[in-house]
Amino acid sequence: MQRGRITAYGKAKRNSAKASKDKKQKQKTVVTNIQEREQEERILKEFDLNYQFGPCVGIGRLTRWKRAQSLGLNPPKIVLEILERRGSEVDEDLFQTYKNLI
Amino acid sequence: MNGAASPGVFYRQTVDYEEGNNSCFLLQSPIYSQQYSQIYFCRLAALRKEVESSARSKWTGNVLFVDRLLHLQQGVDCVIFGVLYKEMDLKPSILKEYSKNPAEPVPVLPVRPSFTSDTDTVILEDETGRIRLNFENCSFGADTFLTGTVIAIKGQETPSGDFSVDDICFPGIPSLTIPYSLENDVFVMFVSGIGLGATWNIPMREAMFLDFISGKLGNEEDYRFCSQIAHLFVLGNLLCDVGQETLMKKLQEQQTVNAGQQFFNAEHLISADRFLTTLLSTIPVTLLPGEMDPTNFLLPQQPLHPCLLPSSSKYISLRRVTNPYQCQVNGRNILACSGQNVDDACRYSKFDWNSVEDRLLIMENFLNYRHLCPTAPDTLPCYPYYEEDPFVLKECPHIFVAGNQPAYGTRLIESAGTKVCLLCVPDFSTTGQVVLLNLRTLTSQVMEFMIDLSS
Repeated sequence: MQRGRITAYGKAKRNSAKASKDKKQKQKTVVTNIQEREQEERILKEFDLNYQFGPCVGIGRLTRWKRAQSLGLNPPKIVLEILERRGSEVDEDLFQTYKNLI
Repeated sequence: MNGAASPGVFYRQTVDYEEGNNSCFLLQSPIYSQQYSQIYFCRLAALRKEVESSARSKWTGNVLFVDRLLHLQQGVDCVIFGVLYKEMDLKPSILKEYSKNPAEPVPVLPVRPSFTSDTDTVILEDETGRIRLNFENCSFGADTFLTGTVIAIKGQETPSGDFSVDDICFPGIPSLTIPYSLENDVFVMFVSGIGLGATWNIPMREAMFLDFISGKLGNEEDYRFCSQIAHLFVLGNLLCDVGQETLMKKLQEQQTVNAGQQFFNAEHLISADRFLTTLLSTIPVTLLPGEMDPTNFLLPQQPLHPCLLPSSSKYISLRRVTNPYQCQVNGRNILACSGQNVDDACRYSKFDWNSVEDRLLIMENFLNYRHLCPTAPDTLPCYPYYEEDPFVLKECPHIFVAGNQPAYGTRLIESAGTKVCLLCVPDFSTTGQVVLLNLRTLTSQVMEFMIDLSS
C-alpha cells in the first residue's frame, strides 16, 4: 500500500513536473508569439504611416496595399504576407481600434 | 446600305459601335464611408509620372526636381509637383452655414456667376504638405487655375514661406490613336436638354424633330441626308425639373400638408417614354442622364433605370448609359458628358457664362490637364472613389462633346498629327438646335428647328 502510494506520489510528482515543463514551454511560445505579433504590428504601422501609399484612414490595409500595387508604387511584400496570414483582421486600418472612443 | 433599293426608299446607314471602358463609371455596390482624400491621392499618383515627364521635357536646364514638398529647400530654383487647391471666399462652404456667430448673416451664394474674387489664393498640395503660391514674378493670375488639377511648378520658396512661381506645366494632351479613314460621309447627331415638361418648351419643335429623324419631313434630298445620320446621342436633361412648381402650387391651395401625400407628376416621364419610343423605331439612341434627370446627383451619374422608361427599354436600339460616357463609333473615340463639369469649371474663372469660346477653351484645358472634371469633388459632387480616379484621361478622345451648353460651338485641335474635335451642344428646349457631326471630316453643323408664331 505504501509502495502504491509512493508510486502514486512519484507519478503525481512526475506529472506535475511535466505539467510545469509544458507550462514553461507554453509561456515561451506565448512570449515569442507576442514578440512576433509586436513586430508584425510595427511593420503594419509603418506601412500605414508611409505617405507614399496615400491616406490610411477610412480604407482597409489590404485594399490600400492592393491599390498601391495597381498604381505601381511597389508596396513591401511582407505586409501582404502578414495580412494574408491574419485572415479576419485584414481590412482594419490603424485607427479602427480608436474609433469606438470617439 | 446607303443607296435606295427602289426609288423613294432610303435605308439608314449603320456604324461600327463599340462601348468604351465604362465599367469604372458604374457603381456596383457604393460605399460612402471614406473621405475624399483618397480620390485626390489616386489622382496625383496616376498623373505624377506624366506631369514629371512633360516637365522634364519642357525645362531641360539644370533645375532641381523635388520629390515631395516636405523636401523643399528655401532659395533654390526647383520644380514641385502636386494638386492645386484654390481658396475662394465666394465658394459655397457648409462651414459658413454653421458659423457660431449669430450676428453674421449667412451669405447668399451665387450659383450662376463665378466664385472668383480678388482675395483668391492658390495652394499646391501633395501627400506630405501644402504651400501657397505667389504669382508676382509671372504672368499668370489666380483666375487661370482650377482646384484639383495636377501641375508642375517651377520657382523657388520665398523666406515668407510661400512659393514664388516662374512657370507652370500640365501633363499635356494624352496619346491618341490614329483612326482609319472613311470613304463616305456618315453623320452622328447630338442633342441635349430636350427638357420635356418644361414650361418654356414648345411641343411642336419636338414633333418637328421627330418627323425629321423618321424621314417624314422635307423632300427627297432631305430624306437622303437623314439616311446618312447613323446614331443619335441624347446628352442629358431629357426631362426638366418642374416638380417644385407644381408642389408649391398645391401646397398653397391646401392649408395643411399631409406628409403621406405624394405630388409626383408622372405625365412628363410618360411623354418622355413615348418620345423615345418614336425615336427608337427609326434610329439607335444613346441616352446619357443630365442634371435634371431622375438618377443620382453625384458624378458619375448612373444610367436611367429601365422601369422609368418601360416601353423604350424594350428596344435594343436604346442604350442607357452613364454620364460621362466613352464609346467608339467607326473607330473614333467619343467622350461625351452632359456638361456639368464644364459649367462648374466656368465658375472658377472670370469667363462670361454664355461665351462658347471660353467653354471650348475649358474643354481644351481639360484635355491638357488629362482630367475630365478636376473640380470634382470640391464644388462638383462626385462619388468618393478610393481605388482609382476614373475621370483621369488615359487616352485622348477624337471627339469630346459636352451637352447643355448655352450655344453651339466647335473647335478642332491638333495632337500628334490627328485632329480632335471639341463640341458644345446647345440646350434644345431654349434654342431648338441639334448638332450633326460628320465622322469622316470631323466637321460639324447645326440644324435649328424653328417655328414662326408671328405669322
